[in-house]
Amino acid sequence: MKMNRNPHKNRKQIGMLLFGVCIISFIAFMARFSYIMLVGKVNGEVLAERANKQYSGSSVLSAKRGSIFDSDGQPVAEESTSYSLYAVLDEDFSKGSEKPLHVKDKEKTAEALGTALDIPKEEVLATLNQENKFQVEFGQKGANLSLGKKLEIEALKLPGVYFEETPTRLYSHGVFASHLIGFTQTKEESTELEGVMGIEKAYNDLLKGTDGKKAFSKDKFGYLLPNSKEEITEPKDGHDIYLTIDTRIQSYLETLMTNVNEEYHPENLQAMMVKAKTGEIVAMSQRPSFNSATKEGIDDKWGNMLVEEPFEPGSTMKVFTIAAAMEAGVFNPNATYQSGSIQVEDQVIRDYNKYGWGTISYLEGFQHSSNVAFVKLMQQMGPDTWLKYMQDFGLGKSTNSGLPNEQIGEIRYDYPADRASTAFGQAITVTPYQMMQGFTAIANDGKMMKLHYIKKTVDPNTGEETVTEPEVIGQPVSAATANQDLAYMKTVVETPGATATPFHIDGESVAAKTGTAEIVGKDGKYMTGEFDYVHSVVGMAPAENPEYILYITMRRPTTVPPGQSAPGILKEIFNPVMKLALQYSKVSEESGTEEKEVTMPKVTGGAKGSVIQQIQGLGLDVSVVGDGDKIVQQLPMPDETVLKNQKIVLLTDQKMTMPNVSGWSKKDVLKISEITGIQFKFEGDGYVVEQSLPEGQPLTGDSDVTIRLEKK
Amino acid sequence: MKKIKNVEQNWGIAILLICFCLISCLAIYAATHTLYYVKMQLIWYIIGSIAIILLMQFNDEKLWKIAPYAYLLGIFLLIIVLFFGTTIGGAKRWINLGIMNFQTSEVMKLALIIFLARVVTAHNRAYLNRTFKSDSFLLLKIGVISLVPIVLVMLQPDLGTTIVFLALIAGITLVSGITWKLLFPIFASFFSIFGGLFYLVLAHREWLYKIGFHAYQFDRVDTWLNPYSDMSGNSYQLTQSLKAIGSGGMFGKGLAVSEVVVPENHTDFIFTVIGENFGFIGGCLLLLLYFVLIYRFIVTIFGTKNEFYSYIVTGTVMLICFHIFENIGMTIGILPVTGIPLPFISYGGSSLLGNMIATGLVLAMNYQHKEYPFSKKHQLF
Repeated sequence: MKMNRNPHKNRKQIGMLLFGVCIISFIAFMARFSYIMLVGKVNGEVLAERANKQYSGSSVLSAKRGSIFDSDGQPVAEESTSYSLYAVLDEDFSKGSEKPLHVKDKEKTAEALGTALDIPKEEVLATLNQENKFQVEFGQKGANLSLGKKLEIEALKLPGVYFEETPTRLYSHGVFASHLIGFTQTKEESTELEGVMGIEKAYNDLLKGTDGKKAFSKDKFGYLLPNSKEEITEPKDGHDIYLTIDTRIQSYLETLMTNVNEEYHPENLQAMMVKAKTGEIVAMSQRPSFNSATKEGIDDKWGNMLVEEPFEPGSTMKVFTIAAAMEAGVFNPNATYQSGSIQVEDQVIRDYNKYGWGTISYLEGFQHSSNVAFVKLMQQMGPDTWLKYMQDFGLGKSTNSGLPNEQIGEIRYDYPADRASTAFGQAITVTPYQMMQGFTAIANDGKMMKLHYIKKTVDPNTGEETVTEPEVIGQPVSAATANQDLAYMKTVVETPGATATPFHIDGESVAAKTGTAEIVGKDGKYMTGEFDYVHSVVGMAPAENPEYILYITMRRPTTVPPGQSAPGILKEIFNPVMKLALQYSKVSEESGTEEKEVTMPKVTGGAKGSVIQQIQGLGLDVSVVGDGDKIVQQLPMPDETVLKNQKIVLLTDQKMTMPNVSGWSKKDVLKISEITGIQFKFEGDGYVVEQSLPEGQPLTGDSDVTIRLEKK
Repeated sequence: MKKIKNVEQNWGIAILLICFCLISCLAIYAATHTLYYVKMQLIWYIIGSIAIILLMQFNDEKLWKIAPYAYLLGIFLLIIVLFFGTTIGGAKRWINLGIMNFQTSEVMKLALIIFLARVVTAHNRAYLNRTFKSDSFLLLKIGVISLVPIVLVMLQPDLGTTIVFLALIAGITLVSGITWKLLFPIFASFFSIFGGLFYLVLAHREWLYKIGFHAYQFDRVDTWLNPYSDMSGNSYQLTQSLKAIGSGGMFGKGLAVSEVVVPENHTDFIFTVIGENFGFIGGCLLLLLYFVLIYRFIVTIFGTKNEFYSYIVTGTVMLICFHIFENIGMTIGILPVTGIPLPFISYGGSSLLGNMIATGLVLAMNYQHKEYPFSKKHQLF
């Protein structure tokens, strides 16, 4: 087999081939290179932006996001760091190290982590036994860990277990006006938090502050070059927001809402409490809601229904209709009419019980929530007058709440039947927020107050405060009319057989009006099922001079036991909340200042770190006796009421140690005696200035500890 | 005519080297902000230049003679590095010479080129009438000679250098005159195995786990295909690299402005510094310089009638070309990341010296060619 080839020619061909490949490769490189540089994108990622972020990562002085506080100045949302746990499984990670850097003893690690993270050990072990993984995470339970938890786990000294730090927003209250306050998310590819709902979103610009900048040149190791000039623009921290939300009332409301929600399973449930004189929102809640801390339930509802979801309010509207009729001079409480039904053009409008109550007075019509009475009143004042009053009460208009996605609803006024229906709250859609704003006019001598949820904002850079002053935004009716309306509403509670009698609270005078609104179904007709309604109640108390207005709506409860009425359900929220609010209002009137007290949670059995955080989160001062990691005893006991300046004393397992008690009151020091059984000798009166046993020393029964006190 | 042309060739290449030296110094300064590395690099350039001048005194006869010894020396160094090498980043590739860590595979690259060139030339002389059988025999020789260093380098392990070896072996094999009837099936099966493996990595990784592969071995592929999948870990270097290049824009940010931290940007990732500091224009200029260099080399292959030399130059072209392509390719995300420096630019004594010597071989050829254009000796080889 002979081959005739000229090696030189062959080389030349190969040379040409090589040359060709080179040219093609060069062209391909140039193309890719130009694409990266000139288009500046790779896989759809904008590189220049990334580069800037990288630069800012090292040179931007981040501004601290402002905190959100409740009306007492306790934090509701604040910036914090959370930790996510991960475990390195790859043996190679430990190469060249004397100590193991990966998870070596999976059995032991699983056991310890399982206990610490409250995950079944088998599950942890399964995660750790995954093949071919460099590292593994532990889902929700291994993420968002507090510093306390991190320290607790670190103390276990488990090789291969590491933490990643992420800036987070700490929402210490869980389910707590969650949709009003909203929450933040970390912006993509940065550590900046961005509000994506509620106040966090609406006031994002105010809260986030302005990042500062530090311009400098660095060497490759990240060190500053000695001769480079630094130009520093100081960051401006975000403003703090103080809410009008009263944590005590809000927490109580949340609990009751949850109870009712779990018992009757309504489609939704909304409640809002406002200070009548000022328009301050003291509590605002909805179901479905979510837990701000864990984001559990966030998918059920994305939005603050109280401003974002207009609905047909039903008979609570009559509070406005009766006021308008009085103001227009067409309401005579003693005049009578035939109840049951009324023909409006082509339609028959009936009372809710279909038959009415015979010939009754208009006041009785109000008490029984007779639709016929209000159609007649509307007809007497005329549709144009009624429309003007509705608009004066702020319906069909924005309340300028400042909250995201506020809706204004719609007044249907084209047909006589629609116009008539608006008089009893059908054929009109409103948000609870709008209704509440209108109610302030009735409760506050005809002066309609702008609702607000921000008491003040504070610029931490200057200390400057911007206080929200109560603002009168209209006077739809006179003071006399408003007060007369209240008096009528009180009769709806007090008159036997009237609709709002369940809302009677012993020892308090309550003015209230219920509503049972029909719901337009998918077919465009009103639904007819027994509980296919939006049940609602608005109540103001004390009726003579209201402090608080509470408005609750509940749509389509699904599991109602026989014999249970809708007002009977709403009462389970309304009465306790109103009662509590009135009590607080009396207490603060008497003492002049609001007492700062909280209920002591049960913390025994918890881990030291997380318990300390929990208690500090409540605004309490805490001191730990002992050097163990588990809390075994606490003072005060669970459920006791604690004043905020009181000391909380905790006892851990293992050796007891002396805490630093300087500045403590004698009473607080005695708590240590009580919890440890060790007596101290006291000298003098007042506050501790000296302790004979230094901090951290073991506390034993036979040592004599003297505490010297002095008056301040 | 010929003489003048060859000398011109050499001066052209010398000017290119000076350009590379300048760019290298600027880039290293921009990357490190210290003159220490620049000074060291300059010293290596000087040592390299001396090596070139020495090498130019070698004619083909001398090269022919030292080829087997060079090969044996290379093998020896590769063996001792496995026992006495310094471990850096999990791989034993360097011998600590006190003043520097010397990467022994650099010696092997050159030795392999020269030795293969000699073996192929000798074979072609012995079998003037090529047959399928003789070509198979040649292929076998090339295979055996190549296998030893490849195995030794893979033991270090050093995937990048292994691929460089494969590239230069492929280059010399292609020009050796072996019939396509033999080469085609070999190259085809090589590419199909590689392609098949690649497919498995992407689609059926679990099969590969079963036959003993480990997940981390695929990280490089994952990173290459999707650098943003894992910003913190494996692809950090690459995403940072892309960022640096991408943020340079048209004209760059100016000398020594490092806004993006790229690990190893004075060695393997030095192209990112060029991209960031000198922009698109700077990067293109460097590519152009490389292109001219390769062009000069290839013209040399065209011009020579000396078979031995032509194989050496082919190997050298493959060596340098492959370094350039792989290095720039990895920094701009076209190719997976391997530890291959950018010829003449990256900081690092052994690689620079290696490339200088490789270039020296080509220069020597032009130089010697001038003196013995039609020497009898040439006909022997």
